[in-house]
Amino acid sequence: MGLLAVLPIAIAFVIGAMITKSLDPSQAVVLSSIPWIEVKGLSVPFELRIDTLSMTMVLIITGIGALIHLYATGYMSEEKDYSRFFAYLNLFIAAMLVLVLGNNLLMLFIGWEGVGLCSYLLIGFWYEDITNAKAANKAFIVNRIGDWGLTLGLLLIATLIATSPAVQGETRLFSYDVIFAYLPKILVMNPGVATAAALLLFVGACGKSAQFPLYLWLPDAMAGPTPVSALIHAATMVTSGVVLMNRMSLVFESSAVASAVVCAVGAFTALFAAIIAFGQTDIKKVLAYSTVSQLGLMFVACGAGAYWVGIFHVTTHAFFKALLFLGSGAVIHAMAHEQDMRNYGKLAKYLPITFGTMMIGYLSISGIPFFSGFYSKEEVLGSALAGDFATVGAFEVGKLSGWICLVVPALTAMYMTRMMWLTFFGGVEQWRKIEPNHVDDHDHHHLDAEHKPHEVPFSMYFPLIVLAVLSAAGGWYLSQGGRFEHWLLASQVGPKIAPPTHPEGIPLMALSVGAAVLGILAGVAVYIKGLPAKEGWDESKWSKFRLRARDQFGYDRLMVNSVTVDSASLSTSVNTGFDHAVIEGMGEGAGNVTSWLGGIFNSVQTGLVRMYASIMLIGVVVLLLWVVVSAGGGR
Amino acid sequence: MMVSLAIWLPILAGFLLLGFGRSLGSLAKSAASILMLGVLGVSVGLLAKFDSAAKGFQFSEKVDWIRSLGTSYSLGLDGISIWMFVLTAFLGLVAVLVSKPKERAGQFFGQILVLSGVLLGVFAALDLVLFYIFFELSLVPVAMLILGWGRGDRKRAATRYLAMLFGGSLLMLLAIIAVGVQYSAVTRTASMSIVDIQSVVASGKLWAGKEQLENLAFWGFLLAFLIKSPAVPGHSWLASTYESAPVGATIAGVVLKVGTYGLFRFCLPLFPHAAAANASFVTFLGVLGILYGGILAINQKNIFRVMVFSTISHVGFILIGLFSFSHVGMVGAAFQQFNHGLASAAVFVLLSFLMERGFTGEFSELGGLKRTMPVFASLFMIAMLANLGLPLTSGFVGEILAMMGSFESGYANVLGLNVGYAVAAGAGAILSASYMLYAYQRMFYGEAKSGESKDLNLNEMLIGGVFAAAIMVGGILPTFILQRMDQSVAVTGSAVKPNSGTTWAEGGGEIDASRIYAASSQGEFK
Repeated sequence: MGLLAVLPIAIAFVIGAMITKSLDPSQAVVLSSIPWIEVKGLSVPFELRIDTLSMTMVLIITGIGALIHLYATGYMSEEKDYSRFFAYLNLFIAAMLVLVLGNNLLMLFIGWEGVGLCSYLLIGFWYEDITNAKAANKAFIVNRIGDWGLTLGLLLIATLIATSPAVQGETRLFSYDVIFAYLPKILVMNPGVATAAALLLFVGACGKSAQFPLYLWLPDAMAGPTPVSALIHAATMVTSGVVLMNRMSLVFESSAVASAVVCAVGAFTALFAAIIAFGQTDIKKVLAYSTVSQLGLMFVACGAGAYWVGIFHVTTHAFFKALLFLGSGAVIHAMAHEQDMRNYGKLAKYLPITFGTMMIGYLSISGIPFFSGFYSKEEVLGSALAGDFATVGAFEVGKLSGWICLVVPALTAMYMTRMMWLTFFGGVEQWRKIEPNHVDDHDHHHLDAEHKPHEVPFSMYFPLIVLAVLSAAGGWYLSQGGRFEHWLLASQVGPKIAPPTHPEGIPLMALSVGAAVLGILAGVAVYIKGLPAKEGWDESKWSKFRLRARDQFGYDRLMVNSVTVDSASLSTSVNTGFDHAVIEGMGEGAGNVTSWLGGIFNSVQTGLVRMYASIMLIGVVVLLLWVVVSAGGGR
Repeated sequence: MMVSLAIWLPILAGFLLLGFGRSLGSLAKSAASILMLGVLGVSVGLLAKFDSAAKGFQFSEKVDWIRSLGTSYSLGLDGISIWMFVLTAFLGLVAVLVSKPKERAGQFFGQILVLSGVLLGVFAALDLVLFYIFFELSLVPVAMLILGWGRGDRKRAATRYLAMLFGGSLLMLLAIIAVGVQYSAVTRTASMSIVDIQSVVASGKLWAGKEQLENLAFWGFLLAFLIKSPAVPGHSWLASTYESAPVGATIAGVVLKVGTYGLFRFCLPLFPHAAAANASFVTFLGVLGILYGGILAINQKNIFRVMVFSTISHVGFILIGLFSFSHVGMVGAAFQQFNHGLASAAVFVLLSFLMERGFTGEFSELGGLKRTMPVFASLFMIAMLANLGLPLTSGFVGEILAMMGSFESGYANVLGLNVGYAVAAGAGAILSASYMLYAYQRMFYGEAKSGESKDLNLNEMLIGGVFAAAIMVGGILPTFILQRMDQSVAVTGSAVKPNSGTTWAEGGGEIDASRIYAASSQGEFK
């Protein structure tokens, strides 16, 4: 059963690898199939684009996907709805592949909505808990806000091409090759429209990639099973926004304002989410905010014009964040589904493989030299600090974002240290206090009599080891001789020159390594003895700042209240105040008038037939009048 | 002849059932379903023979009727109406199959058959008087079904249904008369055939110097069709009808968009100046409907009322696509009109299964059905996805094309249209996700409330499965449908351009399917 789910993904990975190997980076291949939407003036075929960008994403999706599927066969082995889970998960992989492989914006949109649907289904996988349903709804609806922007953006692009006098007889208005051929010139002539198009696409990217102000669905999405969090809500789906900005880089390139907005939003999100992570006690929530924060870094790179760096960080992030999530899944598995880190402690000796691999992921995300995260983070910071791409007037938004992002790695290193120490080290084995009633419904493995946690089975630790190897060495391998840069730039439209990633006069390496080490040291200093009293169960002892951070500084509550409560009350008040009173009144009035008319013919029995007859009578009278008039006048 | 056969067979059989149905007992349902299956076969046969390149009406039938009025028994189908024709036959069959009336079954199925036949007539009629008669007659069986087999305050629902729709169509009757009088004044002959009338319109003669009259007549049709569709604020009949009508009647007679079809067939080709002059207003109504319906659907207390406002929202998309006068937008409207019938009928069919199990559709009594009825939950999910316009379901194609048309025309700033309309309409997708998912949550998530409900049986699965398959095929291979609409929509779209010379008569002027209403002509309406 499990093999049936894993094998197709693994085969897809092998095929993807073979295609990648034989691909000429300078040559994009377009495979066209049957038409999807075809009317006069518009044709949208099912078509695929094989180039370095799409194949990079294919390898990430199928490679990481196959590992996570394998892990899930172990993780979900006692789940009664095993087959439903894998059906959704495989559907997700298919939709994600359509998103990255499609050769037109509407196919991208198929994938875009498809992954959103799968995400919705998997967040609400344990459907008997109504809070899961609410988290699933929130994810879908907040994403739809982003889709609003994306839809308008792609319609604007198609309209620009359709109405351009330079374009004659072209009907494939959404296809990338057509867009690449015509759009740059059109945008140069309409800078205002270019900014509008870029910002609309960016709204879409913000929704899917969980950027401020639309990030708030992602932390709730952790309600889904942990493999889902690793695959969809860390490694693949949430990076769609970065893929979109890479695909449509020509639109963003043509607007400094939009690029500055991308940078600013990315930097703010990175910082904001990193701070919130300090207030979380649920291990998956820490990782969720960390994902939001890392996505912010990717956005900064794209805003700075270094689109390939965005994908580079997508790649290394896929390695170490999938690893960390799967590792956290192993911990949760061993802890009888307890997710609160305050209940962990000293697990390193019980879960040696999980501990060892997660340690690598931790060093990688913290940006310790020669681990994967180090290389991509370095490029992100460098591209923001070195370029002047996102500069509007005198405001060097790109550089400012770069400086903000230099703070983020220090914070990241620190909250990750907190997570690792609370889980694996510390003085007390807090989990010995976990009571049986913590165990919820869909759990079948309990802590046994001696309360001894078990290391996970092979199917679960094998993916951890592979991902640990990638997190350790993947970044180094890909950055050798600018391998990844040259590979990805081949897919970019226009001149294949990326902005510089090494600022002059700034000791970038020293600063970023310094930030990481500082963060780790600070973390160790605070958490070396395990859970400090002022972060413990007694929340009255928490510092005000940490309480506010846990609460997302009130943002989520504000938004959810204003949107759900206000829209509900708007809906209700319009419903009762206007629709019932005025509209229904009109209907009632019409009914009354006809009933009154019908009253003239008392002899007929029911009111309805009376009314019917009266109206028919009026009709006949009018018809007769007309016969008289037209006979007199017409002939 | 085949068109007439499809129309009159169910009407005659329906009357027979009304008269002698009592003696048939439980055979009535079998007889009705076999008959409707035959009607569906005939209509699919017509679809198979349909020539998608032809400009005019196909399968035409014409017999003189009242010579002094110029009225003829004139039928025919084009790429817009053939799909509504097939859908009507299909939904008629489905309505028979899913209905299990507790009393007077013969009469119930008789009413359904008459309703289906009359509606087939509505979609095939090419004569104004004939159309009017079918249009009026289609109201009667629905009202009878509400009165005889409905739920809740059925008398009030039936009264309101008749009052509002008759009221609207009276205005249309006046407009029809005005058109007829004007036609005979201009041509010195009498004809109520829309093919004849439109050819005079296209030459620019019919309304020359009579812009006021054209505008009034346009409004007569427009109001009747907006109420019928329904568009805000003419929708109050729909709420009471959905809540009170037996689900079979809703499927066979209410989900079909006769109103928007009327806009396509009459309002645009017969009154091109007036249609263009009022495009901005109707688009505004469409956007208003999308937002108003979407917002109100969120907080309803039962699923039928959610469907009321979802319908209004869908109709909004049809209106903005149609009145964008852009070819893609109009094709989108035609497609959405077809999809709406399909996708909302799918929901009603599934709801009828739920009502079989003793539910009323109130959310307070629903919940947790995903556990007790997993197959039902999956099918409902597909129907829901079509209603919220997910790509690769039939709901997406019409919506995105209508949006595209509206966006293009707004961007080009023709006919007083503005891109702001499209921007606002786009928010409909957020609202539709909100109300659909919220409804789904209340029906399917959480703990089961009312014990064990049996999942669908084989028959029910088959019917639900056919809808699910149709929704998917319509979303993955919409070109099969679009191809057969394309030419007819192009003719209608060209005919809207004033003095276009484009007519339905075969071999008429060159068909212009330019993407956007020619910007040069906008001066005419300013």
